[in-house]
Amino acid sequence: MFSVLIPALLLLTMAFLASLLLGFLESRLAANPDPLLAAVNQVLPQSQCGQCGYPGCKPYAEALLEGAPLDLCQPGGQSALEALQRLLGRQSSGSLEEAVPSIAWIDEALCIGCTLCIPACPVDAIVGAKGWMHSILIDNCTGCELCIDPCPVDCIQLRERRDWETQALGQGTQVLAEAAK
Amino acid sequence: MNSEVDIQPGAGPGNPSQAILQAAFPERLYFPLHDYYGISARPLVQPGARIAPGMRLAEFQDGSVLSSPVGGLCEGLISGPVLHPQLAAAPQLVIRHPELQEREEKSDSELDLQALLAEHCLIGHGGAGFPTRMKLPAGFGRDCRLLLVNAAECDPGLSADAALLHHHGEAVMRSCLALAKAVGTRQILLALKRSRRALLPKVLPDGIQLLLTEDAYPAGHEGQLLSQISKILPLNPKLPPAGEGILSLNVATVHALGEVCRFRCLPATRIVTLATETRQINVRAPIGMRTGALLEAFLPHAPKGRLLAGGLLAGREVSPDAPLLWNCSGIYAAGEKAPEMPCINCGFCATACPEGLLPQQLLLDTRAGRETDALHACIECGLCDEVCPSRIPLAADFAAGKTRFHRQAKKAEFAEACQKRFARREARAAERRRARREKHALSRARRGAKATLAAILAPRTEPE
Repeated sequence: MFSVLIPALLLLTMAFLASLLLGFLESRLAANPDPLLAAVNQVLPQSQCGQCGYPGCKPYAEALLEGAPLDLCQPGGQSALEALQRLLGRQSSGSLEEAVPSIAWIDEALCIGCTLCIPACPVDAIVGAKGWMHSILIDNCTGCELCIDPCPVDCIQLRERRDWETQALGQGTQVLAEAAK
Repeated sequence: MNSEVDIQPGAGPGNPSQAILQAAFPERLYFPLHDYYGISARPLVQPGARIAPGMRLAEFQDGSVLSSPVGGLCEGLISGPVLHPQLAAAPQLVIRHPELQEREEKSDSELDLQALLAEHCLIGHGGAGFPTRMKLPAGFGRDCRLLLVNAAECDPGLSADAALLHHHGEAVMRSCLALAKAVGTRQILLALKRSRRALLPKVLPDGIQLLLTEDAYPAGHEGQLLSQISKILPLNPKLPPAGEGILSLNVATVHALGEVCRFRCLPATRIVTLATETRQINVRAPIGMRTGALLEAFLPHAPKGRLLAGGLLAGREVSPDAPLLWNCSGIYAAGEKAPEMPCINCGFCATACPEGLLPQQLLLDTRAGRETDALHACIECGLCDEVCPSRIPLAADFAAGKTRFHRQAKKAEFAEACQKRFARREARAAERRRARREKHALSRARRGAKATLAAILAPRTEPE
């Protein structure tokens, strides 16, 4: 009788303890809410430009999981589209051109220092103060065009991004970095 | 180095001791206005202007200047194919009736190499065309351990450096010694193929030592030389040589540097190997001449079809309309290309690879978009292409893959930074909204309290 009961009780106790432990761990080490959402969000360029019709990159990523069209992200271009197709396992009817990396540029002769463009920038890439000429931080500008509409004097233009970092060939940058040390 | 593979590719025998042929200046020369990274320079001359040697033609992004090696008439700008591996086309300055004017030698005791090379942007003559100025950072005078002069040209389709050594050996030695003095080192290593030792005199000038390499390709690759040196000197051959205090230059670059110092002007010509499967000649050709025209003038019976710039194995396919630049050491007429077939996993490429990689696996990974360490270990020597029975352009694929992955990584890095800035901005906005709400709630509460107080007090203060 005992030879059956003791192992059975032992096993039951162990199972109970393990379930407690697992339950505790699950509450402490909660997994990422949705790994697919994070992966899709990572593919998008994060310029938060809203050209897709959604208020930012993450909302578009959420909509993509619900079945929104894949070819809405202009700044991501064809490479992002292909990555999305791979991730989501469905084909897009449309196609996109590869976007030219661009940055905003302020014409200092025209800028009146109205500060309207500053809150429009999603990545805080415009600096300036009331009555003073504003300027773009080119390292942070994504070329999202959101600052162009609010400008009352049309002094902001988009220009092709020409810093060598974005265009550099891998080896060259390394040599430069080493040489600079 | 994997020495079992002995590749005998079909380049005709190169004889560096043969006389160097002189190419006549063509009607027009074309000077591409792109830098090493492919970014266009800003032209500084107007169409119709008379050009004198040494005149400033265009300014690069980093402020260095392309100066004219010849005199002539500036005709204007066109867009056309160039030697650059990533550019399909680039703007080119057209100079008509170019002429090589008599140059006078200038000698200054004090010479600022950096300033000189910023004004006359010399590029490396070995192949990649890296600006020489970048290899000579301002502080190099103090911590340069070694000047490595690479004359171990090992591509079977090239003998231009050997011809230079044979015909201008003394001038090259003088330039080496002068450069070593300028960068403050007394150690000069001249890398040379074992079989070409006879090109140089038995006794070398004091201070120049030889580094003899195997004859097999790619023994003259910078990385291979560095790992050979690392057996004598403590250094990490995987790092760029500049980080280890080594100034590593191609022998033709050193020679050209000597010329720039003497004449304050970029060299107008360079020695180029023109090769087909059966012939190989060395020609002194004007920079800016179209490669197709050059080949047509000296090897009119060369097979039509693909032209490889920079050798038989390491060469990259170029258009015959691309103008010759200082970094083009040879042009190989390769004929029509056999169509690419699927990989049959024969494994020949793995045996041929000097770095011990598995090119067929690497090809699968690269085409599927997986970045591996092996890809970055590839030196793009092209030996795998040579042995591949399916004629798969492996080296070109790997080169393109490296660039693609690099750009992707840069893009991802930028996107992450953007997301962080956006998140911080959102957090700030939320904080502001919360503060405003609290303030409103507080003032509402205050107003309410005041009203209650007023209501309580009101009857008392009312006069009866």
